[in-house]
Amino acid sequence: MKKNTRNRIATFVVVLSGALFLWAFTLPEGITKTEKLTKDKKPAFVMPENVNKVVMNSCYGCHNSKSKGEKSKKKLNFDKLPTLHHHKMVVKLQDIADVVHDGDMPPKKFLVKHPEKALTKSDKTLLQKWASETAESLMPHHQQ
Amino acid sequence: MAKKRRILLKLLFWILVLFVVIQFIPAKKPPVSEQNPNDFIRTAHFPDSVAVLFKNACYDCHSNQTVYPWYTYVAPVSWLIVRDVKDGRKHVNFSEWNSFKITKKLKVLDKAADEIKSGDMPFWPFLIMHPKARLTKKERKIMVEWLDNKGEKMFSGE
Repeated sequence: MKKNTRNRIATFVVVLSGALFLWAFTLPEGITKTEKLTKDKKPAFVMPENVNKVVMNSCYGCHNSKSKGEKSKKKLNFDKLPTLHHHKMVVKLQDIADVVHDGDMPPKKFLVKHPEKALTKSDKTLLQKWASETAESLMPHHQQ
Repeated sequence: MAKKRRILLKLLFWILVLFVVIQFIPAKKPPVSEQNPNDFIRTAHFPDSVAVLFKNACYDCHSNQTVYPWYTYVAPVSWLIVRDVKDGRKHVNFSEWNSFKITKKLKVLDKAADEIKSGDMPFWPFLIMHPKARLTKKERKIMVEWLDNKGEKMFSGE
């Protein structure tokens, strides 16, 4: 085999495996939209005590204004949630319900070090039901 | 020099052997269905010019209408594609759009707009072999405007 051809094949193999390697370890990123503030004075929703307890234990540690995790804060910030436009609030609440339903949060990696932060089955049911019902109640044409 | 060459040839040989062997590991592709009465494009009243953007850029992973080209039958690419299509459909399957409740629809519209705007989607490995999915700035803007508009109308109950 000529040196040139050999080098080309070697480069090709290296580049191809590099691309595959990168691909294998990438995951799609999440949301990054800026939030709008509403001028409503009446709170849009009230978080019941039992839901609040679950959120404080399993979610709030990363999803708050002072969180060091920029990504988690941007995706969901419980401090800002009540100040969002109702449309955006519905989106976030529905996302909470979906993420909890799919078992995607808290992240598995995080739970290795903090197993006590895991959502129990009843936590999941409670949080999902609350998020989903609150989202529905915030729709403008919602019938009580 | 001769020694180096022999090592290189050996390496290439073993890579080739490995490549052949992994072809026998099966990859179970998510099934394709063309009959989707709840499909997004079909039920959300798209203008054709916008529909084609979603079809080209999203539908291979985010619908039941995945097109599997020849290279999706070749490992290890096939494994990655199986993973990505499964993930894509799990995140949102546009073939099931009309079965979502309204709050879920709003979430999907919002997330899709964010992903397209930020450039996180379509996922870059997909673009290597899908030039039509390489969205221009203008195309992204059209898609995002359409999604936002749809979301606002839906939220206000129009």
